[in-house]
Amino acid sequence: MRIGVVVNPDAGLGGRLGFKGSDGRAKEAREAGAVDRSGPRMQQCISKFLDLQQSSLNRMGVNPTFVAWTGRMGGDWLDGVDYEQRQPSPSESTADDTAALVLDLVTANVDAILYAGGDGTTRDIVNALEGHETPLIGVPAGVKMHSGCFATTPNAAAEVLLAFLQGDLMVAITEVMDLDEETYQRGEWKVRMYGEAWTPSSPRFMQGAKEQVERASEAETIEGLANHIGNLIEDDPELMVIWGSGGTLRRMGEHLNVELTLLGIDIQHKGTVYADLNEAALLEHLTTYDGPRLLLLSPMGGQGFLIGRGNLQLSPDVLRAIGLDSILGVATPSKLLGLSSVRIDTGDVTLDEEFQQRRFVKLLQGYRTTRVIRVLEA
Amino acid sequence: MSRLFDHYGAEGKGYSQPDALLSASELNLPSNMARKQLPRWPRLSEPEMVRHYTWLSKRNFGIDTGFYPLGSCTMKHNPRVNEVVAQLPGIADIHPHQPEHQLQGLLSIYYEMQEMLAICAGMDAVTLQPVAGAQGEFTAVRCFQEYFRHRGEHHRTKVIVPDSAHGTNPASAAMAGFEIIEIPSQEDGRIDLAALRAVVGEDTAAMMITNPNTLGLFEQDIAEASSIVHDVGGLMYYDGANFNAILGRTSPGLMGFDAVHYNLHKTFSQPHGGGGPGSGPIGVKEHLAPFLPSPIVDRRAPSGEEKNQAVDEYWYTWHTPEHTIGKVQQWHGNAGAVLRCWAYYRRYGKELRTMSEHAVLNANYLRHAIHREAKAAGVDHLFVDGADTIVAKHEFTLSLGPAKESLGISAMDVAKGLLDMGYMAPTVYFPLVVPECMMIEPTETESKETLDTFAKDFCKVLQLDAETLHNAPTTTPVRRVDEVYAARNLCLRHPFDDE
Ligand SMILES: Cc1ncc(COP(=O)(O)O)c(C=O)c1O
Repeated sequence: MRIGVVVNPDAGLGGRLGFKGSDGRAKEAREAGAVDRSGPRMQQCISKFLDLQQSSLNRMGVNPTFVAWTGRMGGDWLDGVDYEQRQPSPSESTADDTAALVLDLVTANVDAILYAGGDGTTRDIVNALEGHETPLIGVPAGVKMHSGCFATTPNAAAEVLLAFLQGDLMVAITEVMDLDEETYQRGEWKVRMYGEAWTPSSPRFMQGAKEQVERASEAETIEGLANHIGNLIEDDPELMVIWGSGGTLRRMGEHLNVELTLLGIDIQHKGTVYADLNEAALLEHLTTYDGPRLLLLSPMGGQGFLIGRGNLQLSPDVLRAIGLDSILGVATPSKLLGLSSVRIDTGDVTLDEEFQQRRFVKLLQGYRTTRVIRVLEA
Repeated sequence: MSRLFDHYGAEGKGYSQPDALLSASELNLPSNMARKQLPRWPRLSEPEMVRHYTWLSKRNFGIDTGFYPLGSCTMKHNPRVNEVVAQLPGIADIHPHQPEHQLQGLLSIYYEMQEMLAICAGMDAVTLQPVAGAQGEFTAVRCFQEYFRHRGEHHRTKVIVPDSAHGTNPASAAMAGFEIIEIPSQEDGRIDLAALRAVVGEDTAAMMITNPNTLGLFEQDIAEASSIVHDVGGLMYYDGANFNAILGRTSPGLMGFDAVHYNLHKTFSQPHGGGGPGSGPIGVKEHLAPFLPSPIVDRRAPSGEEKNQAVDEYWYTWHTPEHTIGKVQQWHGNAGAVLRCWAYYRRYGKELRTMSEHAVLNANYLRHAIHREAKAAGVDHLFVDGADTIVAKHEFTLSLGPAKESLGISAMDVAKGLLDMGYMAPTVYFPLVVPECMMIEPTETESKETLDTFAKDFCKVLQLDAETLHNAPTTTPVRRVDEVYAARNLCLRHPFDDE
C-alpha cells in the first residue's frame, strides 16, 4: 500500500497567539515567536507508527511505501523512513501548494493520505481531491479541528494508519467542518460544513455478543437507512421529508432517486424535490402545509452536533414550524461508535431548553432500528 | 492437525454395511441429483476412529477438565445422574412418530417439566418446543404478534431493548418483523426509566430485558419498568439467560413479565457450548397461552382401555392451543435436553433455590477474592469493577480499561494469559457497555479453594509484561487465533491436497 504524506508546515502557528486560524498569517505568527507545530506532530505520528510496525500488533506484517515531497511539506518530518521522493517543497507555502501536492500524490496512486494540519488544511485537501475518494487520516495539528477525519492525537493517527493497512478499518464518509467566515466577520463563532471526506474510521469487525462479527459496510448501512425512509414515504405519500445536509443523507437520497444537495436543506414532498432552500423558503413550505413531516439530520463532525453546526437556514422558527416530534437523527454505526450523546445548539435558549427537557432524541441507525440518545446539557 | 484424512485412499474400509435394498438404477433418481463422485470419507477402522476422537477430546477444554467461568453462558457442572436418566432404554429408544399410548411415560415427564417451569417463573403455560434461548425469544415475540393481531392492535410494531441486551433480543424481534428501539443504560448499567418513558407509546409492542441484567446487576426498577410498558398496552419479555441467579427467590411473573424463555442448558444443567443441542422453552401468562406453538402436553382422566396404561391415574395427550402460531421445531423440541434437566430438577426439587443462592455467593466471593489478591499482589490499579455495586448476582464484570491505557494490556490479552494458567477464559467484550470487559461467572458448584486459586492466578497473569501477554497463549494446542482472519476466511470443509 502507498501512503501519501502532506504537512502544512504553517498549520497551528496561530493557536497560541489567539488567531482563529493560521491561513495567510504564517509569517506574522513566526515573527511573533510561534514555533512549528504540524511538522513535529507528523514526526511523532511517524515514529509511533514505526514502533507499532515492529510490535506484535502488526499481525499482517504491513510495510507501506510512504510517498512525499522532500523538504518542509513532507520529507523533513519523515525521520528514519525510506520514502518515495517526488519533488522539493517550496520554501514558503500556500493553500495552492497543498493542492498541488495532493494532486501529485493522486497521480502517484496513493491509497490514502496522512496529513498534518487543521480544518483549513483539510478543506484545501478535499477541494484538491475534487471527488477522488482517497481516504484521509488527519494528524491533529491546527488551531481548529472540527472535521471528522482527525484522529484524537498523533499517536492515535498512527494506530489508525496501522489498523487501516491491516484491513481492520472500513472507510466511512465524514464531514469537513470549519468556521463560517461570514458570521465570523460579524464576531460570531459558528462552525459549518464545507464538504465531505472519506476516512478509515469504523472497525470492520466488532465484538458482537461474544464473538467477532463482520459489520455491514457503510454502503449497505446507508441502503438500509434509505429503505427505511422509503418505506415511510410509501406508507404515507403525504409525508413531507426535510433533508438536512451531509454525505450520509445525500447518499440515502441517491438510493431513493432523489437528488439532494450536500450542504443545503432540501424538501421532498409528493414526488417533488425543492433543493437548497433558505429560511424563508423553508417557512413558506412549512406554513402552507400542515400534514405529517419529518426532518432528517445527521450528527456533524467529531463532536456530535445534531443541530447548531452551520445550517443557519434551520433557524429556531423553522425548527418550531417542523415540530420537535418530527425530528429524526440518522447515523451510521461508524458515527455512533464515538457518540454517547448529541449536542443541540439552535441559537435560541428556550428552544434549546425544550430539547433538553426531553432529554433524548431518536436516531435511526439501520433499517427499522432506532436508538434514543441523550441530549447533552448545554 | 488431525491425521484423519490421511487415511483417505487407504486400502479397504473400516466399516461394513448391508447391501442396498435398491440399486441406484432401480431408484430412478434424476441424474442431476445423483452424486458425480463418491464422498471422500476417510477409511478408518473402529480403533482408529476411537483414537481420533480421543485425541480431539484431549485437545479440548471443558467444564470436565477445568474451571470454566464463562460469564452469561452459565457453564455449570452436569451431574452424571442426568445421563443415566436420558439413557434409560424406555426413553432413549423411543421415536417421535410413536403413537401417544406408547409415550405416556415421556409425556408425563414433559407435563411435569411444563408445570415445574411455569411455577418457577410465575407463568401460566409453558411449551418445551424451542431448542435454544434465541429460538424461545423468537417464539415468544411471535406469540405477542398474534396476540395483538387478535386484539386488532396492528399498530404495535416496536420492540424496546436496552443497549446492554444480548444481540439475540433485537435479532429475534427483527426476525418476527418488529422495529427495534434501543435505549441507553444508566451510568451504573441499570435501566434508564426516563429513556423508557421517552420511547413508549401506542406503537409499543414489547420490551425485552434480562434480570439480573448482562452486567450481573439486579434491576431494582423492574416493577416500575413493567408498569410503564403495561400502561401503554405493551408486553414485557424476560430473557431467562440469567435465571440461575434468582430461581426460587423471586420470579419474572412477580416482576410483571408476560413471557419468559428458560435456557434449560444454562439453568437446569445440560451440556452445551459448541452449538450442541440446547433447549429454550418459553412460559407465558394466561392471556398469551392460546398462541403457544403446538403441540404442548395436556392431561385428563383416562377412559376405557387407557386406564391400564395411565401414569399416576392421568392420560397424557398432545394438545394444540386454540390460536397457535404453529410449529417452531420438528417433533417435540430436544427431548434429550428436557429429560436431563428433568432429572436435575427431580434430584434437587426445592433445593434449586439453594443452587441459586450458591451461584450468587460464589460470584460475590470470587469478586472480593480477586480484589483482595490484587491488592496483595500490587495489581489492583489495573482493573476496576465494570459496575459500581455492593453485591453482584451470579456473575460480575471487570473492566481492564486501566491496564489497556497504562500498559497496553487488553482484556483479550488477559483472557489468553488465563488459558496458559489452565483455565477457560471468562467472556470478554460483553456486555459492550463496559470497556475492555471481562465477565466472570463461577457457577454454584465450584469450591472455595478453586475460587481462591483462580483469584491468585488471575493476579499472576496481571503481573506478566505486555509482550508476554500479547503472545499468549503458548501452552495450548493452538496458539492465539486471529479471529479477524478466521471471520474473513471461512474454511468449512477439509481442503484435499489434490483440489
Ligand atoms: C443474555 C442472553 N440472552 C440470550 C441468549 C441466547 O441463548 P441461546 O444461546 O440459548 O440461544 C444468551 C446466550 O448466551 C444470553 O447470554
